[in-house]
Amino acid sequence: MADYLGEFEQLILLALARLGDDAYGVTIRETLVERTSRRPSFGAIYSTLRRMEDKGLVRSCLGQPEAVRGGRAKKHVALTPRGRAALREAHGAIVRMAEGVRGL
Amino acid sequence: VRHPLDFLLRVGRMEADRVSLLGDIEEERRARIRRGSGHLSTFVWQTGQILAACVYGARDALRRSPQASRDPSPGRRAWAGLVSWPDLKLSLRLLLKHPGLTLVASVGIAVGIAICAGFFAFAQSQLYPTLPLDEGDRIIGIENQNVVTRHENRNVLHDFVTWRDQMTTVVEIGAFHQMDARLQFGTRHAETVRIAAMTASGFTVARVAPLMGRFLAPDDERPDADPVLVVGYDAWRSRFAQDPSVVGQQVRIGTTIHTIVGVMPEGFKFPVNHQFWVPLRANPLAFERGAGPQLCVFGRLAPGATFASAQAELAAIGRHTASAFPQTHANLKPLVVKYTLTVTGDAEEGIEVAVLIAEVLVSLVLVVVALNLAILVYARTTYRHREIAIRTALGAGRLRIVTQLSAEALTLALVPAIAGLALAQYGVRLSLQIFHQQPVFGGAAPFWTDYSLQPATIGYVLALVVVTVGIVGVLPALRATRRSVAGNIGQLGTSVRLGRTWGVLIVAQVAIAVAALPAMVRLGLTEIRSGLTRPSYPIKEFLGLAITTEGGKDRLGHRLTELKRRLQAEPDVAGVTFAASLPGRSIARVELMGPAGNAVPTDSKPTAAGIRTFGIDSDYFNVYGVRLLAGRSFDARDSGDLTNPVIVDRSFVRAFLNDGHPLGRRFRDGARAGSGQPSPWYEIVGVTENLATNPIDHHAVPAYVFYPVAAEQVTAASLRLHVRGPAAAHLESGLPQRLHRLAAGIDPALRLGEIRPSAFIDLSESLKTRLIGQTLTLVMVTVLMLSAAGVYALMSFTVAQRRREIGIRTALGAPPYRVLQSIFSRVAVQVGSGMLVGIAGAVTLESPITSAIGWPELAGRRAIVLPAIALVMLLAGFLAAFGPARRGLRIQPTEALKTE
Repeated sequence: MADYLGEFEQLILLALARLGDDAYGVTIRETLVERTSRRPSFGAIYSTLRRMEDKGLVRSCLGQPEAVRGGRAKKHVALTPRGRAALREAHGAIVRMAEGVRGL
Repeated sequence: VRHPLDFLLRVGRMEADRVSLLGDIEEERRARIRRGSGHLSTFVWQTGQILAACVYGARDALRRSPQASRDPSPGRRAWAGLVSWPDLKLSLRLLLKHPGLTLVASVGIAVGIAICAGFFAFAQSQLYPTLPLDEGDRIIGIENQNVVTRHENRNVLHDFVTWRDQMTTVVEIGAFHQMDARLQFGTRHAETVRIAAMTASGFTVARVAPLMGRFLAPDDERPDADPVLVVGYDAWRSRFAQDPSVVGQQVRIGTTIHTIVGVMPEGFKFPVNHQFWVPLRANPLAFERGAGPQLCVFGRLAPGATFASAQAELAAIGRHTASAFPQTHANLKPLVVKYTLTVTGDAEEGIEVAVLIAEVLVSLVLVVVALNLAILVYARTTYRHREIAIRTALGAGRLRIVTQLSAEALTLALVPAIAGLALAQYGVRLSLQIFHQQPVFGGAAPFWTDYSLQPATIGYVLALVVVTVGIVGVLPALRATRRSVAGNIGQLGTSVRLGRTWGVLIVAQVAIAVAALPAMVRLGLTEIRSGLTRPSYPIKEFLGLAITTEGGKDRLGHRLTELKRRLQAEPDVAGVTFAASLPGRSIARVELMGPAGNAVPTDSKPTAAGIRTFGIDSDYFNVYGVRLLAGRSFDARDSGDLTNPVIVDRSFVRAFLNDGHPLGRRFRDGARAGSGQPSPWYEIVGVTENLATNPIDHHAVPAYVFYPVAAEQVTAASLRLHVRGPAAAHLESGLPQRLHRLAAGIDPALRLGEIRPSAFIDLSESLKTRLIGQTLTLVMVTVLMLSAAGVYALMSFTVAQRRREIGIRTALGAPPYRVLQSIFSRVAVQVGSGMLVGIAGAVTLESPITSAIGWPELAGRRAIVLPAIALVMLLAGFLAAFGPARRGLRIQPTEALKTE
């Protein structure tokens, strides 16, 4: 059975797909702010990422500490094949549902 | 930049992502400031982000056990039903109704919790600090400890190599030592900076990448490698104006040109609080075993290894080394210790147990406070028997009433607990600042210092609040609700009797006060006494600095003698001398030579301050102005004399020779008697006046043993300058610069440490003594005040309860003293019983406390403390009883009968 994705999860997975190797907390949030006009907190983003990591939809690794981050490392996040499939499925469902609907 | 609420993310599911999450928030915070946001609005935004993350983390943690939230346990249901908002409102009203009780209780709880939490937080910060590095809890220290003196031995260059080559449970083993050196960049004035000479593994063990360039590499440690320097972020910003091309530039350290090879990121200060790092170039072949630079050794536990497995492996290596080199290692035991403790030199076997015992003892302070409050609350609760009886008659169960009374205690304890916590945080911050005055820190906080409130401290305070509520609320409530409904109804309008609980509480609180106070008094007096120890020479006119050569392996020889001579010619220098230590000359326990050449042991702990042994230059006493009382001073021939001549001070003679004739007497270090190489015999050739004096206790003055040392014998020495006028003023008048110029003129390879006034250390010591003294005074006054309040409550209640009886007895012509006798007898029995139990407790606790913490014994003059405390308690009890007793005598018989 395909993984069910909530709306915020879909948005984050789309941000990951868009950002590629440069996906981490700050860039994910920036993408969401720019493209959805939402201003999610970092807590919401990390909570969702952790949930999706538990489900195997994304994977993460720690980078190098950077001075601009107060000497702290970045957590780089990337889509897994399963996450990509789930995103494709969720997006397909939206497109199929929207087909033929007028006035959107 | 740390946010004060960072610690909130240590709980809940956000803990795992804490570092990267805080990094993201920090990055965004800086971006906001760059975009022109105000600091205040950015701080508010940052706080919001942290709080939101905390909420998400807590929610996720709860969601992991959905069963728990959907189906609360019976206990949770019961609490939800029992503790209600009206209960809390009623509690608040009652607290306001009895402002006297509320005030005494609040102050007592606040002071009690402040002391307990302050001690706990400080001990936690020292014993269990979180190293803010990746898997920082696996970074450890390795050191040799002298089992006789219980001090660490840092001459471990040879051992360091052995440990690094042989250990498998600890990896990335490295070492460092710190030095103060003159650093000059470009045309700027040279300044003295603190530099860590560290192995390259220091950077890999910390797992922090450089911001620019590279960090040190193992090849940099080769003697023929080019001298290189790594700079910290703060130094890069303040001294190099954040120059992006700083890598590759050259600076002068001492006389050597170093090339900057890298800049470390912000916050990186490993190993202590450093901003400059050079490679550690210490070749073991250049030093004898037991000599060389003083090193701190560190490493990281290998994957799968534990403290215990590393200690087991190290002990095996240590046994092998001790059997191979008995002359230097017979008394040395290698230990795996917490990294921070090896830096501060506080690592000691069993220190955690000793601190735990101390924490339990300190926690007793709050138990004493709570017991006293319980007495007061119980007195009030018994006055409320009418209300309790009516509530019971209306159907309230015992649990319901106990919960109500516990809610009152909780309301009473919460605000003082928060105030106590705030007071404790303030005290801990002050204590840490004093603590960081130690030379190892040089007045700056080490990188692991965390001033924020720790979750463990909050947990401890919550546990204290639970104990307090248990004693102050539940105990009196259980007692007050023990009677049956019928009994309660029947007692409406009659007096209430105080049963055994009351008596037991009084006995217990007096006993705990008597048992715990002597230890505090003794500790306080010891601190105050040692605080009164003052140098007998004008310490404010002395400056001190370390001197060695580049590489630290060449003997100082004529260079030191010449530097002394040239300094002596300076107009503002009154005298110059030096002190130095030679290996194998320390004395931990004195054994005198008997008439037949045999060894006669002496008392192993003759003075509380111990024995200090060091080598001195021949004109040391002249420069310090210390008078020779008997015999002779050292001369140039003494340093090579095989009879090992020594000069001792008056304290030594008093402690070990019973003030007998000292000249010609011989002694040795008894601590090494059983080792492969026993201590040589030393012959006393002179006696000096003490270097320090104490107006009230000569035991607080250390006993000094001086042996002769020549400049040709040492590779490092401590240069002492007696200047004309206050030493601190000379630091600003260019003396340090002249000193460096003189040294460079003699030999550019001479390396000088930072010049400090000798009074510098003295100041931090007196600050520490003052803090401890004030804290202990606060504790003692609080405990005595609450004990007196408890006894006062007992007397008031007794008098109130016996009004009728007193009235009748007075009416029948009983003389006042008989009435007073009957009032006081109960107090006397209970306070007296408490004193006896307390004295028994103090005597029982004496042995474990002495062995664990090393506090003075209940012997000799110190034995007076215990009965003195007991007497003070008794006096406090009777003084508190005086007012109520006087009221008792003034009761008019007609009034007393009318009240019933």
